[in-house]
Amino acid sequence: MTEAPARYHRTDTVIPRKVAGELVLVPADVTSVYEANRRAELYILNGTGEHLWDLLALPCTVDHLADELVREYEVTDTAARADSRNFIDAMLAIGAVTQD
Amino acid sequence: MRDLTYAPVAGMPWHYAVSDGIEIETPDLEAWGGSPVSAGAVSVRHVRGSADVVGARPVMSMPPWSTYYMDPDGGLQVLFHPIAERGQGPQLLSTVRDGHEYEVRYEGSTTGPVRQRDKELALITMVLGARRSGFLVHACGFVAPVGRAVLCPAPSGTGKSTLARLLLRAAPEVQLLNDDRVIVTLANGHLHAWGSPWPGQGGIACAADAPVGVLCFIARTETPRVRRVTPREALGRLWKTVALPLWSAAETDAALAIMEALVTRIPVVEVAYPVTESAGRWILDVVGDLTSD
Repeated sequence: MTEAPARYHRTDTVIPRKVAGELVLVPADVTSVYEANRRAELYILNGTGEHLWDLLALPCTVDHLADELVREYEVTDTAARADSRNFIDAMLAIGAVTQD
Repeated sequence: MRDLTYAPVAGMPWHYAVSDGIEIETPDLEAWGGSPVSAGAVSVRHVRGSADVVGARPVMSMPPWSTYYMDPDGGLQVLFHPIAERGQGPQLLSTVRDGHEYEVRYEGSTTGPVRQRDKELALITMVLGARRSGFLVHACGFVAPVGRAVLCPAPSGTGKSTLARLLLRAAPEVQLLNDDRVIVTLANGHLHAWGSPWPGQGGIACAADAPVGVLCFIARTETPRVRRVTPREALGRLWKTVALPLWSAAETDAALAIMEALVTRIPVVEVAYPVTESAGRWILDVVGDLTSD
């Protein structure tokens, strides 16, 4: 039996804000890491990242995110999958998304 | 109880009421010239008592010095951990009236006067955050000849005091605000820079203030060059230098709005220079051109 692909969605441990036209993710839960104030990073998303972030309002698989990138931007399927995977990994690392 | 009144910081009168038996050391505030009063006072009572944090949740840590807590009523508390080599027990800074009144409780005996700089830096960040009026930024700040402030944010150890020395050498009459910490406020749509009482290695803390004219990041290079910085890059670099009230989403939001104003409303550049005799004059000429635009 094939395992269902993992699905991801946003958490509330970062606050998304539009600043100077950019979508920035501000760490809201700074207690999640001990040296929080030193390690807290401001994440500024590019256009692709912003699009993926919007999609993650609902649970998504990496394949679904990649398909959306292929449809929206002129990128290859391979590049879209790599970008989507990297984005999810980066967001998982800061707790901005979680796996269902 | 002794009442101590210090000159205003960024327009805010600064008062301490100190219980008998507590000795405090406030060299920064004592040397401070003070700015004109333009905002409500900050009052702090220093008393003996328990530094226990009860029923509050930790919201931010600054190891090894302090931990920030939020009590169930939304009051911020900062626990300053004991410092054995200074003979100091724990001290708890608590909010009495957000943005205006605070209390510091000293637990146990202390050996000699207790230096206040760590509490003052926490206080100014708490006060500005609570009032949604501004923030403290790690920056060298100075006032250009046209009367506009130039804000040069940079993390610790990356050239702020060196820049201050270069500027003073090039133009002794230049009005430096501070070589390490500058207060930025946004009021009625206007960005304003204020010197702060807390200097860096250069020991420069001037009680002057001026509208912010240029945001100027600094870098070292062999050949002097200047380039415009995009709001995106500026935001990322500014983030690393601003003392943000990360314990509160609403206060952080207000601080972000001020950061946005800084990176979008005024010229933002990077000046890169070698540390030479002529660098200070070159920097003054560059920012002079920008502030007179």
